[in-house]
Amino acid sequence: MKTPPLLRFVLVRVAALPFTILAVLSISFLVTSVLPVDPAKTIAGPMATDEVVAGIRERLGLDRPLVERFTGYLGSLLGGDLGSSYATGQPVSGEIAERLPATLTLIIPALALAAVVGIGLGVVGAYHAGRRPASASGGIVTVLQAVPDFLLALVLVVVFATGLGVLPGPEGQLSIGTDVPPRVTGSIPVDALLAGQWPVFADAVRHLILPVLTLGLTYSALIARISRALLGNALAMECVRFARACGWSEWRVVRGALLIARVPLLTYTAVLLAGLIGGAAIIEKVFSWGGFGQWTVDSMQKVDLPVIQAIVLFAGGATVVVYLAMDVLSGLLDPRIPIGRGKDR
Amino acid sequence: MTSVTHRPTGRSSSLARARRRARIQLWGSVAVIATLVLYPYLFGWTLEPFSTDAARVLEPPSAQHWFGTDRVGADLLSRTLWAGRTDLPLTLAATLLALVIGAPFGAWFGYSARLGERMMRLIDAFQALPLLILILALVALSGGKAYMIVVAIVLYAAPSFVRVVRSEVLAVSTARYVEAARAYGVSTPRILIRHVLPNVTEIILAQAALIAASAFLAISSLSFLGVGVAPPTPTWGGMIADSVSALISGIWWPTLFPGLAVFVNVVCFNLIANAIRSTGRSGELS
Amino acid sequence: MTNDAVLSISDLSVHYELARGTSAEALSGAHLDVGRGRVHGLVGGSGSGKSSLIKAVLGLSAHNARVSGRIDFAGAGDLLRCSAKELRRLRGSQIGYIGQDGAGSLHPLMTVGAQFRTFFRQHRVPGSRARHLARAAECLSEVGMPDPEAVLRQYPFQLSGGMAQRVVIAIATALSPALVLADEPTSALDLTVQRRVLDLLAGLRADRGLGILLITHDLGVVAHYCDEVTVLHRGRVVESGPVREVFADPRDPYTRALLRRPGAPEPAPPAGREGR
Ligand SMILES: Nc1ncnc2c1ncn2[C@@H]1O[C@H](COP(=O)(O)OP(=O)(O)OP(=O)(O)O)[C@@H](O)[C@H]1O
Ligand SMILES: [Mg+2]
Repeated sequence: MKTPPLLRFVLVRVAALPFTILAVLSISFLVTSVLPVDPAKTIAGPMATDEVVAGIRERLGLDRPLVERFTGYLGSLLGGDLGSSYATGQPVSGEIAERLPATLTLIIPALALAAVVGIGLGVVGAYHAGRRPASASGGIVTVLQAVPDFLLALVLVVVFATGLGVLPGPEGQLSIGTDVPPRVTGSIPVDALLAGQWPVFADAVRHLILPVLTLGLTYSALIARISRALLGNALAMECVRFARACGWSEWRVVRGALLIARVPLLTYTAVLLAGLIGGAAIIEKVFSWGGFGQWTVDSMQKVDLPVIQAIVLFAGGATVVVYLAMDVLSGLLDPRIPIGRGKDR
Repeated sequence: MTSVTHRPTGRSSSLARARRRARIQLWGSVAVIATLVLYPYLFGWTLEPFSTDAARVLEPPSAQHWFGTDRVGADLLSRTLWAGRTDLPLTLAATLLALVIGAPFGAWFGYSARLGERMMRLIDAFQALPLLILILALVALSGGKAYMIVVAIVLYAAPSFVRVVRSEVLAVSTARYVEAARAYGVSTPRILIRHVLPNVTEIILAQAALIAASAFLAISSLSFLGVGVAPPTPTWGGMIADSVSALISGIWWPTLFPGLAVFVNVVCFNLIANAIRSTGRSGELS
Repeated sequence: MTNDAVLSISDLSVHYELARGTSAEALSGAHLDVGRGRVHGLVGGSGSGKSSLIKAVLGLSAHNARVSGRIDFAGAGDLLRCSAKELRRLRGSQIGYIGQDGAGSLHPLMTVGAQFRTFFRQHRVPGSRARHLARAAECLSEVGMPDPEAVLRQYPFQLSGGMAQRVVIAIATALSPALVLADEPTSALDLTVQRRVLDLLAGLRADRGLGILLITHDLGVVAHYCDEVTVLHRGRVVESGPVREVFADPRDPYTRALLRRPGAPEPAPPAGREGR
């Protein structure tokens, strides 16, 4: 396999990265600065006098001209400083590093579940199009789509924690009183495994089940819709007719269609993954997860400006990186995209 | 697969039946949503969403309080119905505004394909932003102002309208009859309004219903997180958030009814979208 | 009726059920025989039911299709009464299919070699990967592919339309089927390539004794390559018989109209063009 074209492709994309990040950064700054909202007023609350609001504005540097604030912000970013939280005084970058693993521990298995369930529903919907199994799968998707994730979370908690008592309730990542394993990756189940603490690992997994189920089922509806469309198109292709005319079994035919749908499906899943970094906020909040998403919501409620800016920037940056990774992967998986050419399968 | 049986072909009413079913779906769903919006305006006097009674907190459903009471002793039926005054008008306003803003751009980008191609790249980039976080930030920073909620949802929804309208216009405007009109020298806006618009309205309306469903979910999520419309104004999301601690101890009614309201609304919006698509000219009936 | 027929269709009807509850009749009471080692032309206007007939033979009719009649295939009896599994075994091994769109017929994300391998594995052809690929290369050279080993490593998008159609023919004939159904196999190709692909099919027929059912719009092609011809008009067989006889003395007004069109072959005298 020849690497140079792939390498060149990656390099070009990486070279474009700073510009994309700059765009994300400007937008995050604009949203928090230019739009007709006054964070000082929100912080001060509805009862505050004008002096109090003015005081807050000065303390936050909101009284300075916009351009000055923007250049100052850029300057400190270039110095690797994302700013410090108004609320805690801690540097934001450290807090991100601390909370991200918890979120990833949650969203990666959730997305895997969503992919399995969603693709399954999508295959049934596309393969049996116009017949009973497809309407059943469509019905499930409609219901899954109509139940908001927070409601599903509550239902699951009531059934499995309060009712049956087989799983822990929304008490975070570990039972109360359980010691957190020594931090290596920051993900509690992984760290517990690394430290060989089996009971802690089991406890962490039991705490993962409900939030993962909630997110997984919610997002499976989206994946089901997109995979039904993609597979429907793939199954209508002439190559499927030829494959059948050559005696391929239906199972092989479906696998062939999945192969065609694979790259766009992966791309879509990546979009969901990027969105989930902040998008799991609600579920994190319900389950007191204490990850990136819950921190986002808490900071928003406290109008912790530097944290909000950093979060938008980080989530945007993560999105850009995930998309880049996806482009490279698509190039490797699809021979028609020139970068992976020369690969033999 | 092949079958050797020769079925009689006299099921003459199957399409008519499907159409009737779609019409019932459509108007039934519209009626449900309209009732939920209008009831608090027309019969608001029957509701007591703000009167609390510390002596009667968390009472189960009874003849007096059909839905029971919440943790400050307010009547849950009143609050559940009253919330329709907030959540649904916000949803409809945001969707309508997104449509009004997005559709003309979509038509323009679809009609002048070159420019459209470039603008769509921009929109792709915009949609790749962490929109949920942006919405959260906007709404939280404004302290939950209703207009900011609408603005945030419009930012999120308008690009989808641009996309749909553009692809429809692109498809229709290469159709023969539009090319013929163009050859006769009919002006562009006139072509768009007279020939293109009537052919894309259904698809756009169906899309609007879908977008309303997701806008509604987003608004409910915001109020669930406590960054949306500020209490004590009842919102379904807010009521659910409020009920969590009671729910954990097995008290289900403060969660069930607002939860049901959210579910019913989303299902109705989705049904409207399906019904429009399946009664339409391009209807694939299944 | 020839005793020697590979395929013998009688009284074949195909209805498509439509949403309105009405049904459209695509074929009614069609009959034709394809003899061993013969090329049978099937002509008719657009929508006359040619593709419906082929799909019925393959057992791959659309979901809304209702098929009745008899389709006798040498050695397997009535295909309409075969189980889905039996039909699947016959497809590819006993009955080959070639569609219009060669490039579109191949899986876009599999190399030509991988498609041959999947095909061989499906039909339980014994042998290792290397054996399978060697056999695939043989099949490719039989259809006149210049550098078979290289083609095996290529993806469909790297092949020209004519090459892709050759690959399709190579796969369709790889297991020496008794019958090949070709649905306008050359209509997507340019003229010179069309000739070569048809010559190739005619050659295979001669070498292996294949029966070929060839759908085409081109009466010139029928005159040149076919032994028998059946003319379909609105789902009914309006004419059938040896090409020379039909073209010399068309009995049906529709056939006469077809033959009068510009580009149609001269209504040759009985001693005229030889069909082979
Ligand atoms: N799945 C289907 N449902 C309903 N009608 C169908 C279906 N498939 C084919 N038809 C109709 O059946 C008739 C015969 O179609 P068929 O494809 O067999 O024609 P054809 O002779 O192959 O035409 P062409 O030369 O254009 O390929 C047409 O009128 C077509 O519209
Ligand atoms: Mg055809």
